[in-house]
Amino acid sequence: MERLKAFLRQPELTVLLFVLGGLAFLYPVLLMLEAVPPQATLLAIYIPWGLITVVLIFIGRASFAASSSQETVRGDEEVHDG
Amino acid sequence: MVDPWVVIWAMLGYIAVMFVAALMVERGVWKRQLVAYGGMVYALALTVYCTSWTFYGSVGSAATSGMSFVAVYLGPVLSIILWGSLLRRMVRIKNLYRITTIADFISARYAKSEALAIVATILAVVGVLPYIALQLKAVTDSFVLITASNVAFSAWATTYIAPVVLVLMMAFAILFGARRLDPTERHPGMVAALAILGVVKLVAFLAVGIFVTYGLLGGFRQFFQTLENSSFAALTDMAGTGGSGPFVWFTHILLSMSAILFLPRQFHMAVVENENEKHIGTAMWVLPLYMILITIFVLPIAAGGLLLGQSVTVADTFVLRLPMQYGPGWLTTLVFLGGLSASSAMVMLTSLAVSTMIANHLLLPLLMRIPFLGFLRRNLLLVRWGVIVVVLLLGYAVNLRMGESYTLVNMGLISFAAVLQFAPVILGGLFWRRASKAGALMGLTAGFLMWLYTLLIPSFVKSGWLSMALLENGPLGISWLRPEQFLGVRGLDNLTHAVFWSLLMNIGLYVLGSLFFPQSQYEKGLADRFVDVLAAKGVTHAPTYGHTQVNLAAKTDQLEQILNSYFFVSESKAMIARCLDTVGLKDQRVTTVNKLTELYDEVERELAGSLGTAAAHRTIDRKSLLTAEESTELSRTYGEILADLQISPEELLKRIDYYRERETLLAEQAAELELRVADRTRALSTAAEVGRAAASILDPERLVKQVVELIRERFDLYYVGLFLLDELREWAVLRAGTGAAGQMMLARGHRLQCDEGSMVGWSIVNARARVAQEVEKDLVRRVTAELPDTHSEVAVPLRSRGQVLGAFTIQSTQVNAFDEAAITVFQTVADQVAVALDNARLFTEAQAAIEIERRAYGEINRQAWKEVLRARPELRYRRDMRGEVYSASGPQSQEIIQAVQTGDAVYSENATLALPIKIRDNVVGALRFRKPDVNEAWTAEEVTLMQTLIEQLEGALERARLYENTQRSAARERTIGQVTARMREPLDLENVLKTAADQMREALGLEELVVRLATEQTLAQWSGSGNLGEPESDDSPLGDQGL
Repeated sequence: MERLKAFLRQPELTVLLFVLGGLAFLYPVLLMLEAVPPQATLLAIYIPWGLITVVLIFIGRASFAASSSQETVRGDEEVHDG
Repeated sequence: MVDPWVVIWAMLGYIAVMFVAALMVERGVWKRQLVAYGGMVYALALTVYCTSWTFYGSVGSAATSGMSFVAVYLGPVLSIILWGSLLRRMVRIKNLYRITTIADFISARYAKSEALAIVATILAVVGVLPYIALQLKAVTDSFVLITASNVAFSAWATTYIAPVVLVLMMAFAILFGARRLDPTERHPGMVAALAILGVVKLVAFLAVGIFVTYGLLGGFRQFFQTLENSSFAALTDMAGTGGSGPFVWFTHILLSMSAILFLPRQFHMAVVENENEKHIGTAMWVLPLYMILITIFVLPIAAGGLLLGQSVTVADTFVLRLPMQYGPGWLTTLVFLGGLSASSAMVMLTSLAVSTMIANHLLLPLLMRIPFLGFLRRNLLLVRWGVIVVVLLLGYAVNLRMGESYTLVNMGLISFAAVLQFAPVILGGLFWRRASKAGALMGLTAGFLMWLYTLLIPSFVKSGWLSMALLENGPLGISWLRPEQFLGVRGLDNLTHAVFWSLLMNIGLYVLGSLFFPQSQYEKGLADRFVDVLAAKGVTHAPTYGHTQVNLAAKTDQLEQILNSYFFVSESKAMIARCLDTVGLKDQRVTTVNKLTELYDEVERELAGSLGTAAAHRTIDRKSLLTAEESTELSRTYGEILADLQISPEELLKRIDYYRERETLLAEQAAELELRVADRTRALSTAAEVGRAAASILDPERLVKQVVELIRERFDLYYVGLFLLDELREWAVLRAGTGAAGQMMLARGHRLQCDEGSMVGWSIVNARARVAQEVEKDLVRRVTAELPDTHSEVAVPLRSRGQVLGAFTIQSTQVNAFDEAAITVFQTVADQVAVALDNARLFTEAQAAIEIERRAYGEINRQAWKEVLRARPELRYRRDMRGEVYSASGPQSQEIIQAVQTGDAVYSENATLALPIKIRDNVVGALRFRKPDVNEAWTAEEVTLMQTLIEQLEGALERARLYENTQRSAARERTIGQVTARMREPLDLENVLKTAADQMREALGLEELVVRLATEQTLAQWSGSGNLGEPESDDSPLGDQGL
């Protein structure tokens, strides 16, 4: 589990996700689906969108759950537990 | 149609709920819940991105341009993917410099430049102000639409509904956004309200989406079949976006990627209002999910409206029209409230963010330069309020002036394009060390001007406010300067064209300017701090260097004088005291120069929260605050440090960062420990309070009720219940429970078997606490219907004198709510309560025993008096007026009889009073009093006096009876002694019997006494001769019967 969390915390993963998301939502890619039934375009948009959301759940939990107590900077903020 | 009054009341009620919710949060009522669900609240508040433009406009966009509407939601999703690094950096920098606005952020990065802050503010105001107008227009239009059936009302709404909403928004923004000059600029009340608004608009949109899709179109499957066979099939095509499809699509994605973070309201919510980095993690998935939900029904609603015969020209209002025509009234009202939520959230937050920018970056520099306006500097709060009012009034004025103009209708994307100009300077500032103030100023100004020229001015032309010749021929007829075909670029839609040119100019000049104009040392330091913000984790006060001792009191006086220009004296003193404490100079009289500069840094940082970083930097001007000697000393000190260490300045910075980081960690650990100690102290204090209550309350019923309430209240728990074992120790019966749930369970006689089948039973059987940190995972725990929100529970046994009396059940709405320390405290409390309950039980038993004894003695006493009165019925006395006392005779008076029978005082008409004589609750007689004057009544004092005297009489009588009793006992004992002695004197049988008969008869005063000795045989003979039972004759021989 820790290994998975460490994997999800890597900044390169978010860059990869950003690139893949960008490709998935590229206009020509979506244009290719016009020949198929009308719901295909909708699915082509919402399925990657949903997958990105699911991955972000894991990235968010892995990246921020462990970090808040260690990486809080001095300022006006309170110290939060992790 | 919906009754307009229903809508009005629903709207006012809804806004009132927002006020109450924000107030509750501001007052800390939901503090614990906010801590627990802070991430969710933050994420939902960020949905302020979805304005009425989303709520109403996305359907309109889908009806005209098909799937292109979704691009403005895909852009944010892509942007959010990078928030783990990007937003986290921005939040840290915000904390480091007390950033309060996006202009402040840009200024802080680039040498705290006032000029940059001013340009950024002007860009934001010009770009966003019409957007406020658009929201007000949406509220007005939607209200007018749903009240269209009532002409008079509709006319009224057209004129007045926007001002009403505007005034409410002003009140809200001032009360919860600018009530005080808060250096952190965080507003939890407003954030909570925004979160609620976010939920309401989502629920409303989903409700109408489900209604249209399943109620009107027969579900998704049938909808797509119908759509495919209709003339609107192209709505799902990407090509539906028009000839410039790919460009429009890409531009929308790009614009919305920056808008989700750089729109002033989004920046304020995402960066300024962030109180915990952890919340970013929640927002990273909640926001994309929210956008899926709020767009999933856009296409069905748009296509549904068209399929049902609605005109495409009113597609913006399909969301409202479809439920109005086909749905129930409540759905229409809900949709209206959803639209109102979308608009009002944007208006409130934007007015707050923009007004802060205007006040800090436009007005304050003016106030600092114009002496006669200096008095306003001390009334910054009033200035801020005034600016909020002015901003909203301007928004209203724009709404009235522009109305249905091209500019206003397209303002959403025009605003997006405006704030896109912030992206290069912000992103460059975060990741590019060489980015300089000059480059940023050039880039931002150029981008702003190009946006103005290529997008805003053409929109003015299309609205009819400027000549169309400008677009067709260019200014002064110069065709290559045509705003929408700049330098002859054609083939792009106007938005893409504007974005292309403004970004090109912006980025180009930003890079060129940064490369051409080198950074100052100060800028370099700031650039490093920004770029390395994730690596260097914090800043604390530096160690002391230098030799020259500076008079600290004189320096703080100087600072105080400066601060007094902006704050009241008490506030200035408090701020300086805080800063002295922060940098470790509290109670010091002298210090070194480098510590002094650290104090200045801290004051500047604190001041930045109220004035903005640029104004704060200008106010705390080191050059004027440090003398020439001090400046020289400072330079010399740094030089010495470098020389001693024999390292480069970069290396020095790294080392300083290391030590600061270490110190920060230690400081954080100390703070955490202090927090724990404070928590423990609070818990122990509560335990002591429970202990005191337990010691002072002897009634077990009252005790258990108070204890459960006390524990629930002090530990802010969901539910606390107390079970006690029944007599057979088979069932644990609920004896006290908090809240309505507790009352319900008590009413139905809730009990649990005393075995390991429940948390409470397990705890009793094993005589130790059982914890379920996540109740769903605990196999032993039983679900209680009355407590649906329990997420963690602990059962604590009540132990006293080695025996378990029952158990507490303590429940929380949060998972993992109970740590070891909390459980220890609960067990301490439980032990105290158990001992108190045990003591109360013993006390009750002792009381019962005493009562039994008292009753027994009372019975004996009653019997004794009965005997006395039977033996001496003549005990009646009367005293007359002459003072003579004599034995009474004749019939008993009614008053006496009544007093004896009732045991109470009896009054009669002829001034007669009878009072009972009671000895140990037994009425043994009565006294009757009569006054000489029959008309004179008995006063209360007289009666009290009589009763007091009677009490004395009762005591005397009891003593007399006891004395007589004792006397009689003594006489009896004496007689027995005498008779026994005489009987023992003779030695022969006959004389013994004679003496005994004689003495006994004499002692008892009898007329006759017969004594005879007999055996069974003798008795048989007497029976046979018939002599049994016959009286003895005086001459009967006593001794002839033999022994």
